[in-house]
Amino acid sequence: MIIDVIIDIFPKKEVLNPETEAIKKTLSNLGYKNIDELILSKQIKLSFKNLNEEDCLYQSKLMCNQILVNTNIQDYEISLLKKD
Amino acid sequence: MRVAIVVFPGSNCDRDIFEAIKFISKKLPKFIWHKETNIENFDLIVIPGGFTFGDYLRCGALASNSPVIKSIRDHASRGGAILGICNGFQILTETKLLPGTLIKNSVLKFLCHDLNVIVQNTLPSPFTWGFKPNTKLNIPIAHNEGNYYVNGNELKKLIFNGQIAFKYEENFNPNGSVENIAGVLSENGRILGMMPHPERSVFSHHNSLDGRLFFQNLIEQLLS
Repeated sequence: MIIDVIIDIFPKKEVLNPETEAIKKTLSNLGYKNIDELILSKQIKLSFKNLNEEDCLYQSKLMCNQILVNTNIQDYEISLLKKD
Repeated sequence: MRVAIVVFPGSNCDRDIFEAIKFISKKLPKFIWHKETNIENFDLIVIPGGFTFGDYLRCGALASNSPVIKSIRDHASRGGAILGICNGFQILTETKLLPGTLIKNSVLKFLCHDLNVIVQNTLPSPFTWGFKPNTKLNIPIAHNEGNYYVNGNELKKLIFNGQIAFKYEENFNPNGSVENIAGVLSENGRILGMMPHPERSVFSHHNSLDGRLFFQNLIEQLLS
């Protein structure tokens, strides 16, 4: 069985993100004036084989803390998708 | 004086550092490939600037998991001196040997020009002692992610401990870094990360010779 894990990585709210600000400003210039918040995230998809759900989640969390995410400036969410 | 220069795929300031150290110390530094796992008996380890692993994932993130990092951590735990310049600074924050993170410049541009950095009143450190506090050094920068970020509590700690080594001049902060920070020290003062490139202001064909002063002072302090 294959288990897909989706990791969404996004900047912490308190970290000013100049890239996000630039996109928001451009959207506003294009006439989209009602945007309160814009979040620019990064998505990593992993497909695991021969592991149960619990281990998939455990390993994904380890990877996030070890290398995939810089927890000084980023938060992350892990979601799981089971396939046959 | 034994100096190691760590080379990763994508390092591009390693030879500049080599020439600067050779010229000033009259000794030949040693290049260390990032896959080496045993580096011992160096007075100083330099992690040079560049674009290690193409800056993939985050600047310095992949390099900070290279095999050589364990030896660098061991060197740090023995109180050895480590200097990270530009991408080297980013690698040191990714390894958590230094606090904080370097994020994108607030102007969203790659910046490459000369500027002044001001030496701060720091805790005892071979990188800053020897300079009077407030000494200005004219050293170039060249980076896209040099915007130093720490949260409020960490910043208070850095200030309280005297870990801020260099600041940009007030009103001439090029990248939006918090508190105009251009370089920070570890809690024991033995590790420095800095965005400006002192190796690019050493020779007479450079715009300034202040990087030479930086390395001369560092070598004197390490040998004393």
